[in-house]
Amino acid sequence: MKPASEISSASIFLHCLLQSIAIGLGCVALFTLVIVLLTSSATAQEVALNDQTSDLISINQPQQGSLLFKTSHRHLYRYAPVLNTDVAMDITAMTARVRLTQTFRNQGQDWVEGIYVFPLPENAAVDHMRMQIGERVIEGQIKERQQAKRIYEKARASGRKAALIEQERPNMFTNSVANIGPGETIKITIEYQQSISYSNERFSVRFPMTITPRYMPGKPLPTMEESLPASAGMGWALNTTEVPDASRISPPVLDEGETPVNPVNMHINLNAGIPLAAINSLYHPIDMTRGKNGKAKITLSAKKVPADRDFVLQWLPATSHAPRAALFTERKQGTEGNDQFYSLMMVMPPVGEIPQALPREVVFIIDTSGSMGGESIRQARSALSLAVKRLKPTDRFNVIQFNSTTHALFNQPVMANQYNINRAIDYVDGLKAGGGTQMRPALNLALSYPVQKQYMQQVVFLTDGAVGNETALFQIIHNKLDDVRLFTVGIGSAPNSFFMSKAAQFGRGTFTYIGNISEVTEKMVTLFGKLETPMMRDLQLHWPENMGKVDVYPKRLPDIYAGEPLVITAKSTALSGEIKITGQRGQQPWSASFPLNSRAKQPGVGVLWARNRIESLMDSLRDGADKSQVRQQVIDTALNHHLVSKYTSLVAVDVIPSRPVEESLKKTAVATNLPHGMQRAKVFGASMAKTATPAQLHMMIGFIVLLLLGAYWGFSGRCSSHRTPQRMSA
Amino acid sequence: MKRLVFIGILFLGLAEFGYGAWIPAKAWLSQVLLTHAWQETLENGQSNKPWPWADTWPVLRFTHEPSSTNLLVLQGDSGQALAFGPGLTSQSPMPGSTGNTIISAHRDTHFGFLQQAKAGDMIELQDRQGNHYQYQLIAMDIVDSKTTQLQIDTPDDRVTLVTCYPFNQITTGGSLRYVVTGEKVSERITNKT
Repeated sequence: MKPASEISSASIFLHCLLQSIAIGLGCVALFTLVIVLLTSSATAQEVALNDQTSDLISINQPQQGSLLFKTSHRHLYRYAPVLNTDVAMDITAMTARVRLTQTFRNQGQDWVEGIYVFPLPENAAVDHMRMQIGERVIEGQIKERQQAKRIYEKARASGRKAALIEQERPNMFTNSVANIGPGETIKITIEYQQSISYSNERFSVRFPMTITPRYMPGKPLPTMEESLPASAGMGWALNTTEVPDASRISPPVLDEGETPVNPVNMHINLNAGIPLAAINSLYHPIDMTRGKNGKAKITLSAKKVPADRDFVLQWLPATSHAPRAALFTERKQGTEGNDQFYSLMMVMPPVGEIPQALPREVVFIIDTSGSMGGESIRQARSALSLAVKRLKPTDRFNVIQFNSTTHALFNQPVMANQYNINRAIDYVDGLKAGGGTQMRPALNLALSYPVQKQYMQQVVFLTDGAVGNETALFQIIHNKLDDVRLFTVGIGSAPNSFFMSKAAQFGRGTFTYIGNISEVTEKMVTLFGKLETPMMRDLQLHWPENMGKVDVYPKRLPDIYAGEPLVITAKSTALSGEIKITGQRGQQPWSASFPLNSRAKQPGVGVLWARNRIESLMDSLRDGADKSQVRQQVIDTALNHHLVSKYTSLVAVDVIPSRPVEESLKKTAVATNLPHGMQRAKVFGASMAKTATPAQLHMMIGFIVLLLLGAYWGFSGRCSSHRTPQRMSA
Repeated sequence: MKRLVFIGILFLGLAEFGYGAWIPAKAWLSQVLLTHAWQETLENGQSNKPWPWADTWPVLRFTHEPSSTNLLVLQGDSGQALAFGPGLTSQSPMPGSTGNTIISAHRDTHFGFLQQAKAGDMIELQDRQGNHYQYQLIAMDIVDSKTTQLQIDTPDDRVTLVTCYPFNQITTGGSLRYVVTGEKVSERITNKT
């Protein structure tokens, strides 16, 4: 080859090298552009769709709800106000006055409405609410529920701050707070009265902190049928035929591992009125300063605790100071101007000294649904094994487990011989938690065994009660109970105590709560004491004749078991003389008299009476009482005593509008914690798999590369044909 | 040199295209291999791996008549399983028991047909015992997987088919899912001796 052509070929080579580098760069730039364009258009599309999703579903597919769990809207969380709870509890003898302050702080840039579903003790009588904005305090008014809702909605729309307390269940309430401005803090103080429980010479008060996610049986209701947008909740569950308010009672739940929210701070002022042997908190470390005669100030050792398990405080009277009877009264001006006496009476009948005469037939029901996963199922298994071992050879028994399906160990209750007991223990050891909470078939089965007059028939029901269809279950117990007695054993960090205690009430048994594996033995032994000794039944009250009509709640007196007192609330126009209580203890009649003059004044008893009256009225629905009549009576009682009920709510509205109308308001649900020791995956199903492949992307990139290469080839072909004459001329 | 660059880029382009094309090819090929494993499974009722190093095995046969779709569903819905076939979410129940049978697959391979599927269509699942379950599709929804989870413990028997959405999107990793629900309408139980 000639040098000249070498030079020219070198320059051509350089030229083409540069050209190909330029094309290479061009290709890279083009790919990048293509990819950027694709992804950005995709994101835009996604965003648009995200916004439309809800509309799409509700308009075109009313049935979509059928399968979806609406869970934590994480993108909304960012705006959700931060919540702090302060609890101040004043305990005097057998009643407690609790002031619960929920502080909502909005850290976001938008105006928000905070919605917080929170638990309270199932016997809480909520009678006050205050909204504090800076220095201003607005008292909540009691209104009929719909009316309260309208007042709140109107205030919300007009930009005024407002708060609304509604009752979802006797132990579950919703606090809605509207128009919390960016950076603002609003304090809502809720007050309630409750009676202190006294059992086995031990007083205790429970403060629930979170809600175990409930199972919602039934078919989902079409979203179109939702009566009012206002009645729709923000929860993860869809309303179903059996739980028409499921969306209201299923607040978003945080994952395990997520930093717990809603820290709680507690101050307790205890005035037991009698010398105490011990005060202890079952699940939270406490600090206390003890005073004389059962006085103490108690705080949590950790200044703030995550609201993920129930707080329980117990106090034990010093020996020989355990009360056998007590009477507390409150005198109020009645509607007609005359005096009204409200009384809270506690009587401890002497039961428990003689053994049960009849052998027992015990049916154990154990809940093995998903919400029992983790710590709870271990507690339940351990409690059940203890109970089975405790049976006498003359007793009969069966074990039923249920989750989505029900399974009984034996077809019929069998003799408690060693062989059967061993089989049952093996069976119980192998129980695992998972699946739904279809309680109804299990209850039906347990209550369907034939009546055995020569046996004392008992059902022991171990569950966390995490269901939304309480009413239907109560109805079964009510209808099928006959002479059986139902005892509930509550398991876990935050069981549904309303369900537990009410089921035990309809089952004419007792409710035992086990919150920790270490308590199993002690609590179960106490329960065995109740199961194995005869109860006091057919209890009747004989008031002095000069007292006139006495309105007593509960209307139907319960059976009394070993270690349990009879507690009643009464309203009368006079209070003097002696009350006589009669009953049947085992086979023997029993009676006792108590003077009504030795009594202690106790404010708040009137509210407790009213709450019990409302409960009794609501229970009467199970007996087929007229719905609208009951509703009216509940509303009258609730309005009279300023009480929140199923049909009445507390509402507070600021006088001054604060949100400019042109700014929008974001509705946000405040999350609750997953109860301590629970596994989320057991309750909330599966998250969805990744279901896209990069096949198209790769093929497209490859295709573009080849296309460009082809184009370059064609182009460079022309490029060299241009050059050929040049070379020839050279 | 120029040729080298040219060939290099050509090779890259072909490789990229081939890699993209391999995904649907693998998805198709594996279904063929799975068919053998399934035949064995139906005979012996065991979990049979389709190829020796497989970490999944067929658990259900899935049929959608209107689109002539016939697929073998694998245990688990991990990425590895989904490359070969639709996956049964590991916590979800088998068709015979109450609850929600959740099956996921890629939108551009096995579950591409869902784009054409409509409410009222019938699908059929066959389990390893040879029982057949017929479901009627009742709803198609677009949901955000970041904020939605599927319920496993539904009170009734149902099937849920999940795939990515939108169907013709190039990029992956989006959070939207196309969720199809079917209600069980009938079943045919074969009693094997």
